[in-house]
Amino acid sequence: MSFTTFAFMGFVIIIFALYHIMPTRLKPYVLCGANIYFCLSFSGTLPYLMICTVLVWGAGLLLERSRNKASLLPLMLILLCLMPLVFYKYLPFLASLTAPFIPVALTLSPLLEKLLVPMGISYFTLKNASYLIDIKRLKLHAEPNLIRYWNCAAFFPQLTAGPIQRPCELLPQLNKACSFNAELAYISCGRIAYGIFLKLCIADNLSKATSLLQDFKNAHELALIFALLFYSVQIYCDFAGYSEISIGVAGLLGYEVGENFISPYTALTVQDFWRRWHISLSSFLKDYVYIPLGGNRKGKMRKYLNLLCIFALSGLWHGAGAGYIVWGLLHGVYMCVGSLTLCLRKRIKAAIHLAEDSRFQRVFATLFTFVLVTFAWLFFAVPNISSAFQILNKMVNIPIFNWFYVQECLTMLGFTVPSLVRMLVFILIVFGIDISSRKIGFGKWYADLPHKWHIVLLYACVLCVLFFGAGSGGDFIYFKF
Amino acid sequence: MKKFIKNVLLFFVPIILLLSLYAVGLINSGELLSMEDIADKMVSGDAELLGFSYRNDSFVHKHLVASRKSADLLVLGTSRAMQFHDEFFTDLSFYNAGGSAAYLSENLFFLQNLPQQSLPSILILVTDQNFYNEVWSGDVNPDYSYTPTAIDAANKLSRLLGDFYKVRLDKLIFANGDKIGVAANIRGSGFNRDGSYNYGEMLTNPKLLNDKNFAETFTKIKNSTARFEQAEEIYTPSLDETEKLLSFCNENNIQVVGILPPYAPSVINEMRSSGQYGYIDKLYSTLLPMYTKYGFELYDYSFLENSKDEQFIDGYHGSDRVYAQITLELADKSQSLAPFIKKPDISQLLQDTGNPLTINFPVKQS
Repeated sequence: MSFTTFAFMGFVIIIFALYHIMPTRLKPYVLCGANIYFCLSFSGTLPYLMICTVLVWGAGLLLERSRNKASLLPLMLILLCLMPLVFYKYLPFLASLTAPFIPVALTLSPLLEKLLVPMGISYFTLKNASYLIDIKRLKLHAEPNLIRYWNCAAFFPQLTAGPIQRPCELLPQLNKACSFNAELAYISCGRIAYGIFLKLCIADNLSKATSLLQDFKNAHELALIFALLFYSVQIYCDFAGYSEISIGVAGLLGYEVGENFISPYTALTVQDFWRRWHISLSSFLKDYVYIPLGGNRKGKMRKYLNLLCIFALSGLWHGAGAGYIVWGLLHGVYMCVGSLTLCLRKRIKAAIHLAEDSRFQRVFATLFTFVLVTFAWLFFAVPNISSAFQILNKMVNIPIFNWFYVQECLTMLGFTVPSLVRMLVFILIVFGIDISSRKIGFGKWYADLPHKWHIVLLYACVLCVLFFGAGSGGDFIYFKF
Repeated sequence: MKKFIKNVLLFFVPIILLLSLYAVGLINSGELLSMEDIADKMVSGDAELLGFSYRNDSFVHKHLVASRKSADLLVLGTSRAMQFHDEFFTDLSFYNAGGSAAYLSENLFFLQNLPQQSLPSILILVTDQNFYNEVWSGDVNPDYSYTPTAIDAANKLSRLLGDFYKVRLDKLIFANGDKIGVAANIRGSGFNRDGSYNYGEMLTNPKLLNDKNFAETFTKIKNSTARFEQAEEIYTPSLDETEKLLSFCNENNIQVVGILPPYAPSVINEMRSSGQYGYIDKLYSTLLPMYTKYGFELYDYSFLENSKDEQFIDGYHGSDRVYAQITLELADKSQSLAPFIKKPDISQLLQDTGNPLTINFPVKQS
């Protein structure tokens, strides 16, 4: 059940009504039923989630009892909790890699490839891992009520692609069984409408253009450059759109969720980008991997190693493929080089009298960061490394082009002049909103707007979706992770 | 909570009203009618033009009408067969099922699935040259049947909304039913009652033509894509498929007149000068013995003499004028068709209209 379908919207309306009509003691059961129903719409997901939830819930209670004792139990339980992710996501990849050398892998590989991967496994697993680690770290008490833990782990607005809201933030809200909050509900409606606008009016309408990266053999060089630029926009609007809908639906039920994106393409550095992009994942990696590895406290070399490590891990989390790892490592390298050249860059700026906060410096830094991030997306969009390099090779060999060549590029990207202009206007609007909300995030920015602007924005989003949206939309890109 | 619900409902009132207008337009246009109802209207004469914008059931429509109409003279092929009109022929019953096949095998499938009494006595078989290229060969999906696809009204409404800037809603809301479908009502394009195709507004407004100066076709030739895949030799399994089709016609007493349809002159010249389309030049001589074996006829119009680029809708779709010219030539060449071709009428139709794409056909150029 994709978020942009009528089925999902109808489902949300019914759950919203039922949830707020029911007395407080029955609300967890309504939510439990909603989560089960939502899981049922993805084949093979419910049994897996239920078994994992019971096991992690039991492990949480076990950890609670033994957390003052020094033992290997917590580590074992956390590793066990990560096992399904390894089994479903990485074992098929490993088996296919080793199949030519290991006979067992050769037998297993086709079987593993046929495995039905449960929906949202990566997000669900990280949520569970966070739960167990936080119990171990005494940040959280184990949840004694299984239904409440199920509602946290399989919370339907966050199941398919996050945000990975940590149980230490969600469980206390579930314990209160949130009541109706009109202000939050109005803001949530705005977020849902904006999310659908991002997904249907921008991300889905760019899918033809970006599909050129998959079928690039006959594509013009310039068309490929535009396809990559559009991919940057598409993946942002797709995932941010999903996140807005997710946060909005949770808000309608009365639950508050932190921002998952804060204007990432306005970032001044790659480090800044990662403070704004997929915040729930990057903060997870920072808190649960980077800092325990020593962060930046154990010398420069160790810091760089840790950075490369978490970004490679981030790539691997997105998918078992060389392209994802290269994408992650590229970001790791950006961060290391950024850190290594910080002093040098400061000296150069001082020498040419360029103020750190001058408009020129900020625009240049934003553009430069965008170019770096966009370049890295190539390996994300085309996980086959050799294809990515073939595209790169074409991109750097742009011929001297004329108007006819540009027109052909537009046709290849699936645009006519009016549809391109419309798309650019949409992108500019989103960029304008991102600039305005870059310090506080879209939710707070929207909440601070006068009421009449809420109505204007809502109508604008709904009408744009109706008249310019791409039907009921395709799958969200991040569903596959 | 009550206030919230009231406000949300109030917010949606104007949107629902707006959607209702489009929904009425969509329903009134006939775009959502069942294929059975459409076939009834087209056969009975209640409707004169069928042009869907958001459905792709032309195979089903053509098969349904061909089954009901049981025409003596049937035209079969792809969209390149669609410009043969009823008016070119004498009173024998005629139906143009052009557009009901995308692959050679689908022509035989079409005939095999017609009731015995609906099989024609004469068949104009338009075989696109690319049928004999490996890329365009293939069997009909064994699961395929002429069953209409389910109508997803919400999806159609969403697509109509997406086209709001191209659609005059009043034309749909006040449609009188003689034209079925959004394209028929808005652009006047679609299938006529005889199955032939009317390009509608496109004929009078050259801006609407997609392949200006055949730039798109030349790109396809350059890139060897989309019906213009290069090949030196004829793909042998396609010849076997042709043999099956001709044999079926022979067994069922169907007289076949085969046509290799025309390309725009500059397009066929470009293809020939590229030296990459050897198979096209070999087609006529290879196919002719297969046709004559059964006493059938075959004519190669890949390059139609006296035709001009501006008489083509795009690089490989000739206009009514091109096909009227072909029919006129057939009146002299084809023994099977000559008695049924209205030669004087076609000559009159070919009189100058001031538009190279049209013929003197006031009734159909809506």
